[in-house]
Amino acid sequence: MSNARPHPRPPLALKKIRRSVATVLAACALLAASACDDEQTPPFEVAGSGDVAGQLFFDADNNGIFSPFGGDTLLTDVEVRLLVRNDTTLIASTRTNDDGRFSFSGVSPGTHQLVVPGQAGITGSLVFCTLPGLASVYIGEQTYLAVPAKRGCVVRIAEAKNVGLNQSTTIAGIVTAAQGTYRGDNVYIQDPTGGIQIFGIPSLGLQLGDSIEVTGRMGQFREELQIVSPVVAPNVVRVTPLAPVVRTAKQITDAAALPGPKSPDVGQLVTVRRILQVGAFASGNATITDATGSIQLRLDGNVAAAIPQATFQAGKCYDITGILGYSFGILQLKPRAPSDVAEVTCPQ
Amino acid sequence: MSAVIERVVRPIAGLAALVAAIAIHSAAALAQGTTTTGAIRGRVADTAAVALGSAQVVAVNEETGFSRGAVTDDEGVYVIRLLPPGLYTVTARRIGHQPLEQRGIRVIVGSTTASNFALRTASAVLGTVEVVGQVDGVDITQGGIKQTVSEEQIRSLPTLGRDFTDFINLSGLVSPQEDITTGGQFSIAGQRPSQTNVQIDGVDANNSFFGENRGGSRIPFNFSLESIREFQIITNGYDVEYGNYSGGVINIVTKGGTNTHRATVYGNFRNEQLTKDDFAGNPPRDFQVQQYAGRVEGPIIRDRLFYLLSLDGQRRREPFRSVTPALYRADSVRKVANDSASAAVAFGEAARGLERFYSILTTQYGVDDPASQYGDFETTNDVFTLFGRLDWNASDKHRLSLRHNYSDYDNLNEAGTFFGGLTRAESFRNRTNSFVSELTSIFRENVFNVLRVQLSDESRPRDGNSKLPEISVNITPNTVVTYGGASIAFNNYLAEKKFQVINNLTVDLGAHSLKLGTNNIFADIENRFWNRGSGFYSFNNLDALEQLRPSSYTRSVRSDGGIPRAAFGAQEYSAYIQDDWRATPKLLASFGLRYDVSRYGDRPARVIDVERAFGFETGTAPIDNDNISPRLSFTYDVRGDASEVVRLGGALFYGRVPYVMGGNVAITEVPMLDLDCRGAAGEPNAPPVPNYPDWSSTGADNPFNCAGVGGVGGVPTYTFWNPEFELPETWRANLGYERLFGDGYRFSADLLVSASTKLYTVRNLNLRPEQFRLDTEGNRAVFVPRGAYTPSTSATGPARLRNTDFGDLFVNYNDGVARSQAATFTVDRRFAERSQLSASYTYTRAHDNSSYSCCTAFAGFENPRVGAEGPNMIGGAGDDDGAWGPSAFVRNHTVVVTGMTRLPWDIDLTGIWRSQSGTPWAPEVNGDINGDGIRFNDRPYIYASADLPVFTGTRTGTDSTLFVGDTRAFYASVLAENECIGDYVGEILPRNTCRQPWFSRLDLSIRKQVEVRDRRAAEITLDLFNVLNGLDSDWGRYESVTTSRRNLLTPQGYNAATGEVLYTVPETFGDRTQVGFNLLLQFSAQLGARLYF
Repeated sequence: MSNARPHPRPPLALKKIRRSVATVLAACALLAASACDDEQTPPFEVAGSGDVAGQLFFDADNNGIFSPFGGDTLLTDVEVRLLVRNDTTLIASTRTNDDGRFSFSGVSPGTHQLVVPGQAGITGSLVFCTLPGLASVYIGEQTYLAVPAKRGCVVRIAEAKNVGLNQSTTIAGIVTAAQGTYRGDNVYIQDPTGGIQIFGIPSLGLQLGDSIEVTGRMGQFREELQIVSPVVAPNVVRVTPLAPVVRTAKQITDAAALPGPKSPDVGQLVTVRRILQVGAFASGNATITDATGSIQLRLDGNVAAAIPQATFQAGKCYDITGILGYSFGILQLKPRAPSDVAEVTCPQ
Repeated sequence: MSAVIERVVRPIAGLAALVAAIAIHSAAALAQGTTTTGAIRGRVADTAAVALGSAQVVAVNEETGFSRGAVTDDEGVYVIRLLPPGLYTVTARRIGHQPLEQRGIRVIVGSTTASNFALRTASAVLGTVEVVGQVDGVDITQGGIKQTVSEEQIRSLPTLGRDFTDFINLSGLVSPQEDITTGGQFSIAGQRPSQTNVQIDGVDANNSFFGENRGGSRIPFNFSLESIREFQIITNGYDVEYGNYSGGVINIVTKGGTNTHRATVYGNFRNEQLTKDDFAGNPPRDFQVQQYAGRVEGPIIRDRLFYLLSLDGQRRREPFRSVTPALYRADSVRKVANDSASAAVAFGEAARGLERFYSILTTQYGVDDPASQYGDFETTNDVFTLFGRLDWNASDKHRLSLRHNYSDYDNLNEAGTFFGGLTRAESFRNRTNSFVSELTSIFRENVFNVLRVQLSDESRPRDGNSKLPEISVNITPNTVVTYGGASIAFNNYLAEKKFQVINNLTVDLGAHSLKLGTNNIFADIENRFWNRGSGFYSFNNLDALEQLRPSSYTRSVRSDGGIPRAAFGAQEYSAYIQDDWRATPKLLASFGLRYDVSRYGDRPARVIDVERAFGFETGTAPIDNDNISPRLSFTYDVRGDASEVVRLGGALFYGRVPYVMGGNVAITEVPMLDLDCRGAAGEPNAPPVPNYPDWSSTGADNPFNCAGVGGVGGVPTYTFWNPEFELPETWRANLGYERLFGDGYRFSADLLVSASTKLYTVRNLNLRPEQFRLDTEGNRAVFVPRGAYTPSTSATGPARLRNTDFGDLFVNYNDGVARSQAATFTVDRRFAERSQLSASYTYTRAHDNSSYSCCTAFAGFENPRVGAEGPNMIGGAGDDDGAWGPSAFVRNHTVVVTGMTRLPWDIDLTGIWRSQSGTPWAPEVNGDINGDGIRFNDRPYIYASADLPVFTGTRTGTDSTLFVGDTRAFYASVLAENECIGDYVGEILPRNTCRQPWFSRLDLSIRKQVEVRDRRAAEITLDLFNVLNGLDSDWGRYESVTTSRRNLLTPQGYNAATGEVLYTVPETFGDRTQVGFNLLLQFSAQLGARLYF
């Protein structure tokens, strides 16, 4: 423990000196009296104000802006509030007009928070994914916020896999198995956290590399999770198709040991290299073995015709790419096309 | 005890009590003179004290033959100006009177020495009468305060490592920082160190970027001590030549050659065997310091042309120890011996973890032999300086001096850390050049001119030993080791080039002497300071390190992906006029006016978005052109014989703002962004995958982006000048009295006051307005809403910033104010030749609302320890609720005693005793109580112990310093034991109420000179430093309350229902610990030898 003192005690002589000196100094201070005109400077005052305005609408075409020809509709007479950021203190409140528009004037500069309270009762099942939103006010300017309502807000695929069955969810990802690869009404999509099958898609002609947003219910087929009753947002964007992740058979089985169908690898595009042996096919399935272990190869749906079983010959080795499926606890590698199967030199 | 030993010991004992000394000419004040020459002034009268006009007086330099003369006026008064410092023979002649010659008249730079004559009427004998060894009189022309350290003192006083700081500290008005033992920054009278102006030979010798002496704070000297004639510490210099300071001026004067050929070589040595254990009882490990110096001088043409060449150098090697498995295992063994099995296991685990760390660095990161980067390594601290000077007495009217100083400093493997080893260390270098020419001219009998031109440059490359991103990994749950990471030494580079022109014209007009002058500095700055430039990887454990899976990657990056660089110019112009008016033979009045213009850099680009958001004018750089400073001083020669003088002065000064303030603006002209990459692989903000084997060692490949994002993320931060920014202004005044009395005694007393305004500060334009107040804590303003208030951690940017489109928007402001009062008393006496004693006591009070002296904008913003109103509202003078309080630099009491005596066998003993009170410090809260985003800058509210809201939940973190038990009872004991907080119950603690401990130090130097032949001599010296500590380990200890021990309360949570912050209490508050480990503090001895030729 310490002995920090406000004024360390000097010797008595010093005290006396100090006292007399202080007296003299007080007189001397008069010499500098003309400089004693300090005024407390106020902190920065940011003067002026700005406006916050915007529009609430159902973003049917999922493009983030109100586009009536895309099927968007206005949301009228909805209460909109402007709050102090990170707080519940109300700055102002208003309701949208017949054009779905709202506005706040005379708002102090800075970043504030926009919310639509009780939205579930007013806008049905729609949600405002951009709210609570931040509105940064600039002096003498109007800050405009387009506030789209959607059927659901995008969550990561890994997160979506944890919602209950039949619960609505919205995900976004890049198509890794196009419509018609396995069936005409399903695709696989993938985001950085995993992949999943979308089942029951209308004929949209989705291709490899299409970036899509899907709202649907969580379903299950042979224990593999999938999105059913999907509604695909119309703003499909073509990007670079994803490259597969390289896994060994053991890595796949180890990763799926506990989470099972919720394994990050299930639903993903995977390459298993140096497959040493492809077993006999039964019902379109065969055991494949690499140096680390075994999983199942499945020639699923349309692929069964595209990739004849005879493609795989004893004594030869293959690198096989495909979507990793899951069927009653069995991990299945599902190639998509003949190009997913490459014969390689067997390791010595 | 034998008689011989007694003869030696007795004087030493006596000296230890009195401390031998060398007189410091504190008396004098500033001459109207100049900064490289002095003057002789006197009165010629007859033996009946009747003034003798038209007498001829000639002063001849005894070493160089340089001569100059004057004629007395009707009142018998003469002044001989522009005399190079040295000893002069002054002769007065007048028809009808016997000439009189006075030898040994000492001319000091910037001072006027009195030399009065009483001529006898000539009779039959007309020979010249000689008077030798005149006692130095009191300076009779200066209204200010100056302390001079003479060449003799420099040569004979003990100095550890020839550090010129030792001499600067002889002034009680200088406040050395206890943990800084080399030069750099000097606080004078409690003012900001950056407000001290350092000059050599009257020209600028500052590193104006940081506001310190050229060469910086790590280097012991950047000029050769062999070339120094004297140091001057000028506290109140009213001469209009002095400007750009509000604290004080340190003037260093070099010397030139003489008519005598001379040469000398010197060397000293110090190592661990001559050094005592440190204050914690640890013996010093192997180190060596060798210093060497040499000087040669003489005439090239007798009485006309002289040369002087000198060098000074240092070679210093010190060990640095960093972590190794063996160290852990040694600890493990020790813990087992102490029956602490769990600790032994932990140390063993750490040793194994470190070995695996090395292995992974090799296999996954391509590091060859990483073990060699840890353990013991050597730091170097090497200096080499070279000085050359030519003096040419071109004619009776013109004298030209040319000199060049070069210094080269290598400080390698410095700033390493125990857990980071050699790769975390850096190499700091400093190169300086200064070329100065001075032409002194007499145009007419009464018109004198001095022209000085300087060309200087300084460069400071500062490079990390490894420029790859830092790897930080937990080798055990509680042990983090690092590899690489240059941080602030990432290709850091500073260059400062200056061109300076000074001209002073003096015209004697009888009772008036008029001086007109100008001083102009043109500086070019380049600064490549990339704070957090190398990037930082963190790994949760060794598995993650092995799998290249960092948990985070952070780096400060420029928004355009470029290299941060500030290049700008700064200019200082001044013009001045001064009239020295001899109102009566005893009263001299001096009136001056100085006009200063300062310009900082080019205007930076406007930031339109900031102007839109805040209505704040950007794109400005200060041009301060309305600075007119009046100067007024008086000296009254009470008896008319320079034995008793009263001096009085008052003036306005404009200080300098360190160029780094402009650098902070220029370097964010393209804004910096905080890159913060976290998340799993595949996430857009996931850290980039490290690829050390393929990355360039120059750091060129260090990632600018997160793994999944194409551009640089984050919000921009800027620093701006306040459009109204102006230079600091300081009113100073002093009243002094000095008298010679008795048998060689001199007494002086000086009182000083100063008041500064417009000192530079830093504000944050983007800090939110206050959101609520803590009415349970002195009504303290909080800058985040209750919903985001987490006082245990720093408030985040989104919570505390007004507009989240931006990060911090710092503004160079200037509402700093300071007041200083000081009284200094000096008594000195020459007992006999080579036996002197001088003692001074200085009492200083200094208060301010911010003790920010340098350097980053963030440092300026967080510096004031804030109270109820927050960091943007530091208040004015006397506003305790703001940030008004004692200056962090002031030492209230300083006693300096110096002395010199001659022992038997002609052994000389000199010594310095310095005893000083501690600097103020402010207790802090270990959290962000006001939500301004900064921990440790909030002054605590002092609860009565019964009212302290105690946190009883689960503590976050692993702070082992927290008291566990009856917290309130413990807190009560803290209040009781620390008056600096206990006296303030029920209020937010005022700033800087506590004091560091007193410190006393005695240094001695023992030297014996042996004449060989023909003026050749050898001298052996033994310097003893911190002798008190050598006598007893409990004495002479450098201790302080370090930052981590200033935390009074640790906030752990906030009870929104009651509005109370809940606290725990650290156990370590106020504990004093050893200051530094740099082998300069404890008792040590230094052996030296010098040869004279």
